Amino acid sequence: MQELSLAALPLGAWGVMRCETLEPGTGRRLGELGLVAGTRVRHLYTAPAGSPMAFSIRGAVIALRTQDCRRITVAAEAAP
Amino acid sequence: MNGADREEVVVALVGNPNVGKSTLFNALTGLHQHTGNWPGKTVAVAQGRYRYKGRTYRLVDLPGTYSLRSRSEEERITAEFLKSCQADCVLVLGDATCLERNLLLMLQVLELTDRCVFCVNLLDEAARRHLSVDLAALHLELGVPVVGITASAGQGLDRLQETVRELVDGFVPTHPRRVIGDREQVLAPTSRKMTDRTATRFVHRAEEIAARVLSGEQRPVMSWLDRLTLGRWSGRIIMVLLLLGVFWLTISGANVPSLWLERLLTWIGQLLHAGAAALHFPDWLTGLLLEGAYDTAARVVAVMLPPMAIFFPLFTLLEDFGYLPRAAFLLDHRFERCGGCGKQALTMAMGFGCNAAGVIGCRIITSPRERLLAILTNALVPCNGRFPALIVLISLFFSSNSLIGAGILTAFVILSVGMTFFATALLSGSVLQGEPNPMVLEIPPFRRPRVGQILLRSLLDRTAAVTARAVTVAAPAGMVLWLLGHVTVGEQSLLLHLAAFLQPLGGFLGMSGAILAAFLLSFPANELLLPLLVTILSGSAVLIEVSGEALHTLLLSHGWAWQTALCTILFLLFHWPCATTCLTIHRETGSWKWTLVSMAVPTALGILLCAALSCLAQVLALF
Repeated sequence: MQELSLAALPLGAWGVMRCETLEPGTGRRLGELGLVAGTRVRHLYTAPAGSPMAFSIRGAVIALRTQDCRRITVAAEAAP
Repeated sequence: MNGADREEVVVALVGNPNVGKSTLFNALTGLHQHTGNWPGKTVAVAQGRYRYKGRTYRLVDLPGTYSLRSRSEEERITAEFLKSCQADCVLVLGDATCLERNLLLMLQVLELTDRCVFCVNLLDEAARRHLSVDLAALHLELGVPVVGITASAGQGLDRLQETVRELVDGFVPTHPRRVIGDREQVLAPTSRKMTDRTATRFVHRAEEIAARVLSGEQRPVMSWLDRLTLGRWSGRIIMVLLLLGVFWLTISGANVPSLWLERLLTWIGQLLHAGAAALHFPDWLTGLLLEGAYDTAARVVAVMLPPMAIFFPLFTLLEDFGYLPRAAFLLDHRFERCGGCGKQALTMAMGFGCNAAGVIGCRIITSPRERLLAILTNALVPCNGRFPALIVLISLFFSSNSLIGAGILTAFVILSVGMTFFATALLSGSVLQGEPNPMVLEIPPFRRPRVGQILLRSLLDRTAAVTARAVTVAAPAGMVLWLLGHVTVGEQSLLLHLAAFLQPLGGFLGMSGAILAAFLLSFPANELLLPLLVTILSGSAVLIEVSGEALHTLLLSHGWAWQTALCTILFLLFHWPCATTCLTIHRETGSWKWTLVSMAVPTALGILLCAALSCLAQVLALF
């Protein structure tokens, strides 16, 4: 499976999180929301200005800034 | 100690944000609730009571949290309360449509206590999404009682109360299936590695449980309404329309009640005057108490109460509906470029109701620098205390049509928002420099807002709050003003001396000394401005009406023109925060320096704008 940054995940595509290089505080905050290694996420929407991006994470919609998404690596799932 | 021994059963209510805790709390406690500060802290916690089968249950609504390890003050309170074992039963509320994530908190709570109940809410929404939760299987997986409810429809509440009762009275044994089994590691992990390891174990266990109890595909939803509110143009249009709608409803809805209140309070004032005369009150006492305290307080109530009684419930509706995080989503990029954070949009919206409440609301911003930016710029948006004066000035000098008036008000509010961006950029470029912090924002699905009891409660709260403020702030301020107006030094009263002293500065700013004096004296509360202005200009006339023709005549007779009104409006929008807000800022920041900055920034902007406009008007007058 191809690895890319979360920011580059195409609209509507699913990805599986691999790792992240954010500050520990943010990493932990994301962990509390269920985003850890192995979590499936789906890119739902990107704001017209290019940031933030909305993802489906364990059933909830979470918005993250695009520049932070660039520091999260996911493995894209092949389109069904 | 067995819960049956105590008089009152303490039930702690915990859960993620947006799962409907407030709905459940209100459904169970109705009007038997109050909000108070947690001992020693500054976070307000709601507590309420309900009676069930002869026992009283005290429900403690703890702040929403994603995890017991969170670092923000509000979330730590939840962890501390649970650690202290004050609760006889812990009710964990979860969202059926987001079960996996909600299980993370549940599993953590399970590590701390035997006596918990997992309550799965929003079953109606899950059904709509073709999701079904096997509650019996969930009970087996967790080892504690599980109840399914739909709080907004009031379904399942009886069963919930019965389950709590059975648990507390010891009729239901619980065999919690724990993941870690070590309390300390859950609450205070010794190393980063341990934190990660326990977090991973919780996540895996939650996934496991969810796989066994959920059926139906969890379809992440981005509905047509989401696309509409978040679209490039439709999103902005909807934002402006919502603002306009709220203002228009507030203005047109408050008109008639304000008039009634004015008449009622004038009539009461006349009775009081007659009573004072019958009791042979000395003139100065009548003046101080009736013209000073009563008149000012009455004006404030007549002018403030109707708009606030409409605005706050409307705002609660909008909040409940779930629109605000979407506004934050749209505005985040602009805030990011100014050095701030999208959640500042939320605190700005709170500031429309009350600047002090907006400042407290800045706690949702986790980064200290961005939080400070939001606090310092909150007073740039007009609060409910300023709306009545804005509306009156707009309707007298610009347009008396309520829809156009609302439109003009919206335009001024957009100017305020623009100034907020500008000031945020300015501050973050100078005194509050730093890198933008990551932002994580949850966007809840649209939910049907709670009407009925919630609106009633909001109405009662607002009425009580406004009346209390009128009595504690407006009445003394009115007395001070009366004294200033009647104590003479030389030939003139102190008040006229003040107005004369401020005349040069006032004139420079396109206003007058009297107006500036009114601004200074309305420092305790912004809603005092118009009543104080009326008192200053009309001398000692018993004039309660602060709207309509009488006011127009009064202002015109003192040389007011549209430029004066415009400068007054601009200064009303951009001047120092009221005393309550300043005190709140000091409490939230713990620093006099920042409190002074929060006073200086809007004032400086106001002075610049008014001076520029005044000069422009004078230049135009030459042609």
